Amino acid sequence: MKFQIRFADQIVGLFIILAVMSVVFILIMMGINQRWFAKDYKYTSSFKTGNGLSVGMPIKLKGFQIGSVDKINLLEDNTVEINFHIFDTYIEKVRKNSVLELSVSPIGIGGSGMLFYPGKATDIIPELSFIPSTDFEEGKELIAKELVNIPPGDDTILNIINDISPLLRSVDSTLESLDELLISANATIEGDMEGPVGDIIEEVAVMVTMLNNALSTAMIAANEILTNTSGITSNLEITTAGLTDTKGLVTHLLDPKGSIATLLDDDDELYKELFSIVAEIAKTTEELSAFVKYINNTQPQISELLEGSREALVKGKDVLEGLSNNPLLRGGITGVTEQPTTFMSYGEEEF
Amino acid sequence: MYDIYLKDITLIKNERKILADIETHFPEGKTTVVIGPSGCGKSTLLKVAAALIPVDHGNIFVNDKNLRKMNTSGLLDFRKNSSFVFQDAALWANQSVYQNMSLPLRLHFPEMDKDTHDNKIMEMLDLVGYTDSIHLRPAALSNGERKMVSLARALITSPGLIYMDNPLVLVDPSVAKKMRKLILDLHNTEATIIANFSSPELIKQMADYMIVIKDGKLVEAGTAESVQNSTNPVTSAIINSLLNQNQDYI
Amino acid sequence: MLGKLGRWMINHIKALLYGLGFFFQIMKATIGFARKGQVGKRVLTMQILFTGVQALTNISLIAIALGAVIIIQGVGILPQFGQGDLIYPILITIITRELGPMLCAFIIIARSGTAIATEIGSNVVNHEIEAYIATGIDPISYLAVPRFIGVTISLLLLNLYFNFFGLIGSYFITQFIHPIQAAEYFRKILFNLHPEDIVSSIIKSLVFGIIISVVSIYYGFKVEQSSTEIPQMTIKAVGMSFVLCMLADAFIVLIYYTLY
Repeated sequence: MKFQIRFADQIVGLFIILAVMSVVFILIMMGINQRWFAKDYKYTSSFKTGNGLSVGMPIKLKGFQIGSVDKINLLEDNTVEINFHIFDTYIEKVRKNSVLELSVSPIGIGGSGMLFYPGKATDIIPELSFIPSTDFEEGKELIAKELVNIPPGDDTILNIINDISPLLRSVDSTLESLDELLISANATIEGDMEGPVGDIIEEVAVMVTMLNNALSTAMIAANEILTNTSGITSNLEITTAGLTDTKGLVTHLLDPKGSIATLLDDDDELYKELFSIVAEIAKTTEELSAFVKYINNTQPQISELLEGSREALVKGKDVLEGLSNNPLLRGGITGVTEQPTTFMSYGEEEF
Repeated sequence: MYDIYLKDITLIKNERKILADIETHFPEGKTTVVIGPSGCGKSTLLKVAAALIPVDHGNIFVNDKNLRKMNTSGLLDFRKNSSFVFQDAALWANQSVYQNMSLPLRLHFPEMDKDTHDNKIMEMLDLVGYTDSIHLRPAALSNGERKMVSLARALITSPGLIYMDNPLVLVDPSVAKKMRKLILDLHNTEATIIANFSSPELIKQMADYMIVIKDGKLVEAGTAESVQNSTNPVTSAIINSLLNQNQDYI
Repeated sequence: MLGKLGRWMINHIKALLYGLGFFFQIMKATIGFARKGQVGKRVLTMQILFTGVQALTNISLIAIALGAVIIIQGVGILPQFGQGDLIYPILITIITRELGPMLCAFIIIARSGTAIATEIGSNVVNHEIEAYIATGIDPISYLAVPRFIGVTISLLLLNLYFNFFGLIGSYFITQFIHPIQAAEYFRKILFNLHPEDIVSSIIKSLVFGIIISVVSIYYGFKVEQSSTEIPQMTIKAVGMSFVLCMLADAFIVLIYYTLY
């Protein structure tokens, strides 16, 4: 105590100086960390909706924060204008034809992010310029013309693929079961296996329902990344067209004189038709199975395919259910309420 | 040199008049002793005259200047040239003897160099007979030592106006003897002294003027001789009880 | 009954006006202190020593313990909701904006508020105040102002130390129980700490310092004659300091959330 009183001036001086120095140190560190002393380059962009946008939202390029959103305004034409800045250390990335994309998590967890895709041109976009977003044609066009450097393995897409892979595995196994079932149905119809055709076809219907459910779930997770795709679905579509063309098949089935036996005696016409349909389904299912395996390892734009497949299988299920209920159509085809898919981005909502 | 004049002084505390319409004069260069029965307001009158207690009514004039209307520098000058010796020493408890002595000097003579300052402190403590350590706190001193230091502190600025409120009360005889001599020496200077003594001998030796009060009211004021020979029965009774005691116990 | 109520009201209004007058007198004397305060500078130094330096041990221990508890609890619970990074804003809100200034104020009320009220009360009873006046020393300038400045500065500095220990010191304690990567921790703390948090914290500690010092000095001077009044006035000083600090805190928080 005596020491403290004797050296009170020095102790108090040290007490004050250390406190002031610690504050100054923290302020400097805050300044460096929060980039108070660095120059930021300001730009604007526009989006269809403000959903998922927030002030301070980081703008990322390949997982690195290169800037953030400063201000969000709703304009007269109901589009949303944002003001944002890019850190001076990343200014050379802001090249002509750069595009912004608002990425929203499809399953609603994990928030959203603003992705920056630099243009392939060499000249840097001057400050205060407009940088288009993928919400509008201008941005889409730049991507379509391959003027934008979009990284192959974007984080968001990889995350989504990871999220849906268990679902896709379930689809895969369902399809395999369906495949086996169809083969056995095929064999039965050919006369290789015993048992009524109706039972087998009912099993097919159950499997198709399962497939339908599994695909619906997969749709929810996959919707964001899945856009224009074609090719593989063509077989399914053709098959489905055949199945839904009830003029041939179902008309014969409805014939009061008819039975499976009479049908099979009908110059083998209906049998051949049914056989070819089932064979088509088996073949398509194999393709679909292979496709599902493929999308587990890659990240193509598969939305349309899966949606198409789902619709086709729903229709196929209807027909198969009709077959299974009775060759004489005891229960007919039940009406199904179309279950809407969540095939719409949050960003597409209107105000 | 100070001439103090109190005009219509009234002090009320808890709805009771401690001092009532007191008008009196303390002539310059003289010693005026306030006398009266115990609890009549002698100490309070001294503190009012020293402007230590604000009054409810009335004015204090110092050399014809109203103390209540005096500016800060005028008041500081008055404080520099006046001092008060308290009945219970009133040393600053959180400061050493040295610091108690030093504070008035540093305040009123900031230009004084350290040596002169320290010499002055030692000289005054020596004068009152204090011999103990100057670094002790008041709590470590005896009652007599505290009184010594209190008197030394009051005299360190060589004031021209000294208020003394029973400076020798509860002081042991050996200390009282030395302090009494010092107070008597002050009487021979030009300083104006306003005092409240309980020692009859000191009253007799010191008083040039006397003020008699009872129950907060002025009974009589005048030269020591006139008051002592007063025919006023109240004054006579007080004089008899105070001054005609057989022994001077302090 | 009505008369009593009226008298009670008038007395309280008078007391409030007296208190405000006392506060403005201290403020006025504070302005003059820097110019002519050489006599009171030692008192100021000692006040900072007693109120600030000697309370540093208590403050730093409380800050480290509180910070460590928040981190450990937060790191355990928040990631379960996918909000692990919320620990940093929570830590800053509690340490910097809320509990830092308030806990420092409570400690200063308990340590220095009581000491000031008691000391000044004793000075009054022992006629030391009269001795100051007789010497020519204004008790407000010499006794009140250094304590006012000293307590206010000390509380401000202690709050800074509280923040320092609460945000940085607690990290090292946490390492024994729940290790976090240092670079990540400090980067995120610095990223989440905003100037308005620091300004709010500083304003709070300044306001609390002013409240505690003025209230303690006021109740100290309210002692009149008897030493039995000293503890009574000290208790009143503590109670009033608590209440006014809480009210001021609520008011500052209200302003903070209105502005930001």
